[in-house]
Amino acid sequence: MSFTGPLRFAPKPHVLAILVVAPVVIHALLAATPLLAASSDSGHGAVQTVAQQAADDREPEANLAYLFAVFIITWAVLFGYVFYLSRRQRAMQREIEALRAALAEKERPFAAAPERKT
Amino acid sequence: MAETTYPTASQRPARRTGAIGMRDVFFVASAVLVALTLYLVFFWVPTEANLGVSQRIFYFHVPIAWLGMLSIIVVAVASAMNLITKRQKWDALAYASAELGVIFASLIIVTGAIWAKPVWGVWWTWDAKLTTTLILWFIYVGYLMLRAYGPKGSQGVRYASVLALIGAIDAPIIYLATNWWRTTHPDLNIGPLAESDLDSRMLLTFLISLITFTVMYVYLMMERYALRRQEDDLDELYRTAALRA
Repeated sequence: MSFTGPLRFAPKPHVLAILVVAPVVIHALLAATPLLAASSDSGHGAVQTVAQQAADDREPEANLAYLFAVFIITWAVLFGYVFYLSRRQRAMQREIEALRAALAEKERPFAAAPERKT
Repeated sequence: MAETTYPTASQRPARRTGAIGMRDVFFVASAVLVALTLYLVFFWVPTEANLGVSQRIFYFHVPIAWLGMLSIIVVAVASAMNLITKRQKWDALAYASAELGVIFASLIIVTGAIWAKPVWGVWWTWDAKLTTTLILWFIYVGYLMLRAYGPKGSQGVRYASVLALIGAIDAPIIYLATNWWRTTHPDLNIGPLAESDLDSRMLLTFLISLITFTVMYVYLMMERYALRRQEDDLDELYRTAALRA
């Protein structure tokens, strides 16, 4: 895997953000609709009974998966973004240097011309 | 009035040098603080009696929420400065902060939904705090889409700046939502209006987590700002090359 290639097909951050949030929002909208919630299976609906909630509270470790989900998503997104920035910066720097060199090359004959005359 | 002249992108030296700069300092500080925060969150802080381990999501979710709101304030201030001074560096700062803002706003919604499921029994509810946060996310996305697909040049920057200034009004609304409306969301934990009754170890862990995420935000901001300046340089170089061709 090349870490230095140009990122011609890299998705923009706001596109990535839409891809991340859209499924959550769609799921939330469906879950928040009482009609759909009532017709859905227990455990997946919007309404959780008091008894179920109390049972969950008695087992605090049962929610460990949610904590790890938050942990993994948060750091994956932040480190992914740092990696994206790092690659973009390197690619950008190379392109800038190449363009500067090309511009300097173009300027050279004009700068050298007076020297040849003297 | 005489106009100040600045060296063009083709005349400026490359920005990144081999010397240790502020970005490196913030990178190391972020790494150390992240390690410390993870240790505190997973091994040191006591488990909350009612919510169990899911309460530890609080140490990620609230600092991220703070940065989501801070970002829009930075975007608005930088946009205002750009409108006043017309200096490109303010625009670069606003753009960098908006991009970070959309990331943090996305994380607020996602981490909040994951926390809401075990605590409230639902992934999402149209609570005032949650809804205003979703509006903030749309403001960030709108800003970036306006910059990407709106009018090019100074006109596009002006439109986006106005959007940022209006959008910044949402930050205090999110903060005060629990005071203004009846909500299921917990009360304020940070800021001048907070009445926190956290255990001392929980409070310390939370404050360290807040500092960690803020340092990381500054580091990310420096990196994104540098990239934005590179993008501006490249645009300028292409324009110069086109003129000379």
